[in-house]
Amino acid sequence: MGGGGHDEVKEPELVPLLDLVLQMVMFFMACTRFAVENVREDVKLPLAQSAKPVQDLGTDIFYVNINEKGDLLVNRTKVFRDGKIDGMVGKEVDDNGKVLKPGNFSRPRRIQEIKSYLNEAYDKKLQEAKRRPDEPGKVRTLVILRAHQDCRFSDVYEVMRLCREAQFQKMQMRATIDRQ
Amino acid sequence: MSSHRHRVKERPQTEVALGRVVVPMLDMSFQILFFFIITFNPNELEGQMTMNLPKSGQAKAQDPASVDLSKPSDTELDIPSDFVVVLRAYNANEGGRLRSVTITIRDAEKVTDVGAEKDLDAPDLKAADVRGRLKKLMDKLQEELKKKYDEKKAADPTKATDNVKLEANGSAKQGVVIAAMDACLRAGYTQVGFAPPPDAE
Repeated sequence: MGGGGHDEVKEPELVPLLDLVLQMVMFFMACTRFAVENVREDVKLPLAQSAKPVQDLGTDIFYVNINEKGDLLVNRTKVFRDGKIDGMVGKEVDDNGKVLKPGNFSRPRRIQEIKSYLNEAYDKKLQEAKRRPDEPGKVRTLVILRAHQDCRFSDVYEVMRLCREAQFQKMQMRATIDRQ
Repeated sequence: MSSHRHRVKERPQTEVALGRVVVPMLDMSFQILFFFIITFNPNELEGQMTMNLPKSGQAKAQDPASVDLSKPSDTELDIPSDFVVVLRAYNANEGGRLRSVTITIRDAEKVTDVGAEKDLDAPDLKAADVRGRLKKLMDKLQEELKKKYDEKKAADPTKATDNVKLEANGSAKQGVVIAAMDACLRAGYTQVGFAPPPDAE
């Protein structure tokens, strides 16, 4: 019996530790944002004191990220192989999204590309809205505009105008909360 | 006696077996925990700002044939506002440092100067000083807007609206425009809309 007691003292109590660790894992998992692909880290948002902490916005949201140069950052697809709508004429991109040839910038082309991208996004939301039981056919999508602090206002305005032209009704701007 | 010995022998054996199960699981849990800690990005810093969408130009034309494509599309706001905050911010060169900011408020009757900051790109000026001067200017804008709102409300409480329109030049940086929008929101205007930049390409 004495030998048994000695063995019990040597055995570390791992189960409560494991419980605690799993609790912490759960906490960090819950805090991790899953829609990470929609929030670009390279977009540095401007500061604003009146920006309110983001509330629960539901699931019907559409992110629009604008980088420093005024290009739209999108998910990489067959059309936008480097994940950018930048209006470059003659740009060559390989399958991994690496730019081989930058091409020449054309503002009208970029506007046209952004326009068709937003129209396409609206059509997709409209199809989803038609299948919805309440208020079928009404798009309630909230567009979230995340624009880099150093990009030109005219580029941001152009995107806002095109969103409206694509029939999106609700929009929200994002900024970094200034706690001064 | 023999059964007692058997129990003594068996108990440590089961405990060792349990430990052997738990330890790799704990190792893995720590790995997962470490992963989540390093990817943990408290996103409470990002905030939302309400705004009005500019009205689309083409939708205004009643007759599709009357749309003149050579003209820039009319981009008026759908909600009428009492004031227009006119912001002019110029950079030293395209995409370069901020040089000057001028703010005026335009309403139906008159144009009120709010203030201006010049030579913000002077080489001896620190970034913190530029921020400070810009902040002072925006605070002045906020005060002025608040005063205007109170005046309107005192004159006719039914007519006072909390809409304001922001007109910025196209070459202004987003950061400065948002700072002005921030001043409008702080002054109590909940609906901030944007007028088309007068120098849009």
